[in-house]
Amino acid sequence: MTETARKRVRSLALAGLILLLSSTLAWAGGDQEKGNGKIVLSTYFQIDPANPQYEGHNEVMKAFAAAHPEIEFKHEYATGESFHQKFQAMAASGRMPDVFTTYVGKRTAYITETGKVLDLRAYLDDAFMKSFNPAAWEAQGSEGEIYTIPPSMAVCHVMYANTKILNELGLSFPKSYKELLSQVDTIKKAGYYPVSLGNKDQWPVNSWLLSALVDRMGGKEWFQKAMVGKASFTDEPFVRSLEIVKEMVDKGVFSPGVNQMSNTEADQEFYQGKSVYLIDAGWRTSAMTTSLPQDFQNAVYMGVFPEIAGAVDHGTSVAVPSEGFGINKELADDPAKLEAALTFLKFYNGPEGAAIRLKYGEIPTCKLDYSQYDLPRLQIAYADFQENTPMGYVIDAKMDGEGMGVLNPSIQAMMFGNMTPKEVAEKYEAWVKENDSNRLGN
Amino acid sequence: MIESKDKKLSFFILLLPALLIYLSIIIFPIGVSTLLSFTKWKNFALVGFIGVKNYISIFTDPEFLQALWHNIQIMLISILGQIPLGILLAYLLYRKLVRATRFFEMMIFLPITISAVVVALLWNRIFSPVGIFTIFMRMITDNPDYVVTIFESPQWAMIPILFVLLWMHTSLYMVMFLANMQRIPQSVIEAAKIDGASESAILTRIVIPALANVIFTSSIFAISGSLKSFDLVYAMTGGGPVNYTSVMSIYLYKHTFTYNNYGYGSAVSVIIVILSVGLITLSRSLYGRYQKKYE
Amino acid sequence: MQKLNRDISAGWRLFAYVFLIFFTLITLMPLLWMLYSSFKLQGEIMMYPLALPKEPTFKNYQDAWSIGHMGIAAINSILYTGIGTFFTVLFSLAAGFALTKFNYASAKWYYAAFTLGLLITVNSVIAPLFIMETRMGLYDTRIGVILPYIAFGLPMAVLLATSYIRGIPDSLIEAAVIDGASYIQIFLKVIIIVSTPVMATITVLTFLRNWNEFILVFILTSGEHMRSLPVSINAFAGRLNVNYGMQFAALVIGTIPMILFYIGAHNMVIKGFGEGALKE
Repeated sequence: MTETARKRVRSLALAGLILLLSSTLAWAGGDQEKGNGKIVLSTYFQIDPANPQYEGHNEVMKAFAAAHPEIEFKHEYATGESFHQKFQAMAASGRMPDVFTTYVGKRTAYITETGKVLDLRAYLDDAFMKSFNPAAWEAQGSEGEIYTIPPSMAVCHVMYANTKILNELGLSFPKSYKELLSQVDTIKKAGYYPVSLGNKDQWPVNSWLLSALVDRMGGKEWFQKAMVGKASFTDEPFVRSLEIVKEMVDKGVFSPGVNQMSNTEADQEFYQGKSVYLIDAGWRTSAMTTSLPQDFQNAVYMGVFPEIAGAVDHGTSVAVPSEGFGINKELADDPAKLEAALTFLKFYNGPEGAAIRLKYGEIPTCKLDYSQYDLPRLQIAYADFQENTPMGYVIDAKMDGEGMGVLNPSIQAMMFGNMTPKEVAEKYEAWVKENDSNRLGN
Repeated sequence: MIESKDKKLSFFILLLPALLIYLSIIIFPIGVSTLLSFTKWKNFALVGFIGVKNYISIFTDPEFLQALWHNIQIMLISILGQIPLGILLAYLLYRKLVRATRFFEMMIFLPITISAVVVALLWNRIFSPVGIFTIFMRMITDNPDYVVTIFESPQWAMIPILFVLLWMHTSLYMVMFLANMQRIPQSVIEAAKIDGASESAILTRIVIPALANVIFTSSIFAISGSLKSFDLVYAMTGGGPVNYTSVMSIYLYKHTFTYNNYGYGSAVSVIIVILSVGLITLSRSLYGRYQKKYE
Repeated sequence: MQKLNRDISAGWRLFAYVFLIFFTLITLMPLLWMLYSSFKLQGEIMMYPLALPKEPTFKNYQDAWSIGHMGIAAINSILYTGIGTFFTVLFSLAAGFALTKFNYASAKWYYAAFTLGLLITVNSVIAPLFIMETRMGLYDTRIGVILPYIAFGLPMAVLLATSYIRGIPDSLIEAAVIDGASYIQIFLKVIIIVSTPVMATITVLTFLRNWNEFILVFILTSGEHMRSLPVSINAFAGRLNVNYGMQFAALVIGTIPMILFYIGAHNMVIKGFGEGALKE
């Protein structure tokens, strides 16, 4: 190759490289927001649009887009721990989206307690609020703030039963805890497992079982006292509840490997007809109506943990208003955006959105006339359950999240026999006394 | 050697791109972290400067010490498991003890191409109480209550994780050793053969000493990798049950992102870095001594 | 190359076979299971986890592809990984050259600084990094992802490059200096050419690392259109419900390119390590 030819090749190569790099840079910059006169709201939802569970959500969004073409969204979704991880980083850097998932309980304390969320009380009128299940309007902040409109209630304790197996074994849904224990032998002899419950993630036993037991043993009043330090978690109601969990393990009530199973796997065990009972959350009905054959669905009974001797309450479950959408406080300075965000919240949670979500298996907090809809049996059962079951507190919605990092692993250790119920209670109380925001009064 | 007037300028032109990116994206944030490790945070708001209190709390927290012990286990399996196994596998292939060496080599290397999330997910689908392995064992032992109890043992719950780590990472070392074995002159081994040396003697007397350098480098990777391991453990067990499989990075993650205590989390990351530096310095000096002995 | 070494005891040979076949089985079986399960629908996986698909279906793939936006995720993955790897290799070779052949006393400090990077996890810098990028306007840009990819790839790459380039005879460089070449020319014309083997090694290792990376993309970008495959795949591991069929399909989509890459780059890997990477 001659010198000039070589030079030409080199300059061509250089030009190519520059072209490549510059196009890369354009691409690397990401897409620009395009303004077209619409009001654009950025969102960050703890929702997975690809998951069939959120079909109802997707439909509401479609209906909203049709009803309000002037409002456009720039969505972002995430689920699980990673949702919170990123959300905290957003909060820390002050780059909060306009509308975002907000919890009623402590889970998003990092935005609610740091004053980043708009208090909705000034923007919701009485008529609107009255059209909801009153349980939805429980105070969300220390001054009674309302940060989010809960779209539904999260019922955190249901004891589902497969009545087909019960009939086959000549048993019926137990009236008392003692009766439940006495069923274990019969059930196991017949080759089934009594209760499926997946506690691999450490919180299900706490949320779905212990909370209900504590409510039975102590009632709401005791819990309120324990929260602020007028009672202690080393008291009888809490310790006895832990003892019951331990006793259930020792007497073989749970299917083997309860602490190795994710809750999805526990569902799987129940769906496969291997277990008689499933202790799970109420919202599981929507998955059951889509993934179980009709005759199986008809055989599912929704009950609660049976009566416990010495309890102050019977037949109760526990619930917390579920997470909804909150509005960035900064929108208060931007009337157009604020208006749009409020319109969205009211549409989503009010009658229009609620009717759509109902069709997809949810029981919305906004009151609807169910007789006008053709609902699956399990969904009606769930609506009835919510209507007729007194609800206590869910422990992890009331107490600090960091404390759950103490309590939940200890419950597991107790289930393995490496801690006693009393030790668990003492360890948790010691932590709460030193650190929990309910006790420290902030 | 090379001397010329544009030397200094060239030095910086060559070094700067790497140095700038590296300093601004890794070293600067770590510096910030170090400062923050002396502070207390709540909900991402600075509460105040608290000196070394975070460090004291960390070292008096049994959960952290347990996590640290698990990291040490991972380090031991890396140094005493992955590296020897890597040498052995590489040797089997190098000496062509089997046919289809290239196929086996690929099989051994395959795990490292798969993301830890995928591996963990598959593992859980196999060994959970509703997984294939458990179903199979329940069938053959005729015990419907069979579960893999090792996952529930405070002493042994780390074993499955160590096993997966062994399986995943041995391949990397195998490739490093295999490649370097191929640099040993064939004639040396032929000569040993003629002198009647056994296969194991060739391995221990010729091959391993020739690889001393690579083994040392590998141990550095093994130490640093072990102390910061996160992905696989997090995806497999999340540190549970209880805290039986927690590691320092999970502890760090929990305190930073679940409990929002940024100062505390920063202190943990500083501890991880200091431990790594300490251990690597130690292994460097051990290696130095070994080298002297052989010179 | 595939010739069997005949001159070896039967005991060793048997051991070798048993050992390697065992290793192969524990590697292949789960992967095959993942592969064929991806052709089963959710119900079938739940009911018969082990069985071969009764009516193989591509529905999971279609769903995963369309719902998970995996097309754009695949393109992003390729570009993040490719561009990140390219610059990691280029910068690490340049740094390696500067740190070995210039004989500045300061070199060992820079080298030590890079070594320190090996010990630092993404988790311990992710929060300050996020805040930094939002302040600088790099948040949710692709550059904002690629820069950390390069940064986290550098420590290992610089170490490898340094040890390799140190082994290049000084005479080669001196000859070029005498010919009147500048250092930059030497870098482009001599060092890069001679370092092909270590380039291959660095490329493969960095590529592997970048391809499976999750946290950086997840935290530093926000839109669907910016996501990479692992982040997309993670989206299928829904919070309260899991669609295993779709998840398996997504896993297969995310894993196959890497396996193909390895098969293609296999010789390069072996050669790269062989040509004396990792010498102190």
